[in-house]
Amino acid sequence: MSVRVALWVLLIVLWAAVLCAHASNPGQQEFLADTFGGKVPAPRVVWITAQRRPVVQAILGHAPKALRIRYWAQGGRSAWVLNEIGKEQPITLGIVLRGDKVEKIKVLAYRESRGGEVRYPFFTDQFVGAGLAPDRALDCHIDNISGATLSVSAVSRMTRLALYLQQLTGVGSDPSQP
Amino acid sequence: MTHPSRKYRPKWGSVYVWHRLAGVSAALFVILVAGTGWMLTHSDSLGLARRHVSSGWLLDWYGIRAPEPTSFAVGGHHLSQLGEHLYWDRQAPVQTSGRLVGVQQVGEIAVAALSDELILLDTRGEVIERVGTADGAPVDIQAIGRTADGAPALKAAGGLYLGDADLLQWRLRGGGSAVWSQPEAVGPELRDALMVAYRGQGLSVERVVLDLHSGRILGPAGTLLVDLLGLVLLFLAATGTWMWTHQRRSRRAHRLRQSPRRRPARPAAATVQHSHLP
Repeated sequence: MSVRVALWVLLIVLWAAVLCAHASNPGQQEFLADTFGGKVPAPRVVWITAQRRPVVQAILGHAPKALRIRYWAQGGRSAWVLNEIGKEQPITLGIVLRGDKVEKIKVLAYRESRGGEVRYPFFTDQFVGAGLAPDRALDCHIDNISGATLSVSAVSRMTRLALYLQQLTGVGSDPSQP
Repeated sequence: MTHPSRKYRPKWGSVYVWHRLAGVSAALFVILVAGTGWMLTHSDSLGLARRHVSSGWLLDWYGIRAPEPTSFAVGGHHLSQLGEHLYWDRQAPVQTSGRLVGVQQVGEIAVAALSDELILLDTRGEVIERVGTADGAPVDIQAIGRTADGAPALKAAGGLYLGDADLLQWRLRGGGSAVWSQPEAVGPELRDALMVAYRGQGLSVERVVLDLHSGRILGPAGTLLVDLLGLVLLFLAATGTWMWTHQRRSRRAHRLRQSPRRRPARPAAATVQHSHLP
C-alpha cells in the first residue's frame, strides 16, 4: 500500500515539474513583456553590413541568415531574440543585456530531442555578468554539459553575437567600435 | 570431338556444386552491399547527405515530381514557390512552411508575404529578415499590396494591416482597400529550370545509397532479395565449413592409406578372438 502511495506522490511531483518547466519556457512576447515590465518598446534593427559580416560569421561559424537583426532597447538595457541551430533544430534564445554585460538569458524554444538541459537556470545563470573579451569570446568560463555540447555551443555563440551587436547599437555603451 | 564421358555434368546432389553456384550468384550482391556499407560509414566525409541526385529517371523512380510554381513578378524579378521552397529567380531556395500569397516592393526591399510570415529580400534575393507572428506579423496573411497613398498593406484574418516605413511593425487599420499583388505565369524556360531545381533538392545521394544497401530501392521485393542474400551467405558459411572439415578428414584418411607404417596395429585380443571362430 505504501509503495502505491509513494508512486502516486512521485507521479504528481513529476507532473508538477513538467508543468513548471513548461511555464518557465515563455514565448517571445512574454519574454519581452517580462523584461520591460509589461511595456515593450518599439523594435529597432541593426544591419549586418559587408564590413560587419566577417565578424558575425566568425562568431557564428557560418554566414548570417539575415541582413538585419531586430532588438528592443530601453533605459540602457537591450533585449535580443536570436535563433541558432544546435545540432539539427534551431534554438530560440532571449538575451537581456545591461550595458555591455549579460543580465539574463532564457531559452524560449528548444526543439532538439536531446540536450535540453541548456534550458535550466543551473546552466543559463553562468552567463549572468558575462561580457565580450577583445577576441570576441566570452570573458568568463561556461561549463559544458555532457551530451549537450552542440546546444551549449549554440547558446554561447548567440550570447556572443548579442554582445557584439549591442556594441554596434551603442545602447548603454561606447558605440565607437565598428 | 569431345568424348561423351568427359563432358561436364554437374552433380546436383553435391554440396560443392551448390556452394559454387551460391558463391557466384551472391558475389555481385556482396560487392554492392559491402561498397554501399563503406560509403554509409564514411557518409559525413563523403558529403553524401549534402549532395543531391539530379538524374531524371531516378527522381521519377522515387516518385519525386515538382508541383506547379506559384509566381509573382517584383522589380524585374520573379519570386516563385514550389512546395516549401521559395526561389528568387533561379537562386538557391529559402525553406518556407506557409503559402506564398504575394510580393510587394517597398523601396529597395521586396516583401514576400506567406500565410504565416513575411520574408524581406534585397534586390539580389538575399534574406534581410524573416518576420513571424511572434515578431508582429499578422496571423493568417491572405494578400499583400499597397494602399492608394503608397503604404504597404496586408490582408489578414484580423482585417487590413499597414506597415511602417522600416517594415518593423504592422498595425491593424481595420477596413480599407488596396491594390493587391497578383500571381503571374512564368515563362516555360524559368518554369523548367525551377522544376529541375526543385526535384534536385528532393533526393540526397545518402538516401539512394541507404536504399541500395537495404534493398528498399526495389521496394518490398528488394528487401526480400537482401533477406535472401543473408540466407545465401549463411548457406555459404555452413557449406564452406562442412567442405573444409570434410576435405580435411579425407586428406587425413588419404595420408594414412599412403603410409602403412603409421597404420595402427590391430589389437591382439581381436586376433585371439578370430582364431576361435569356426
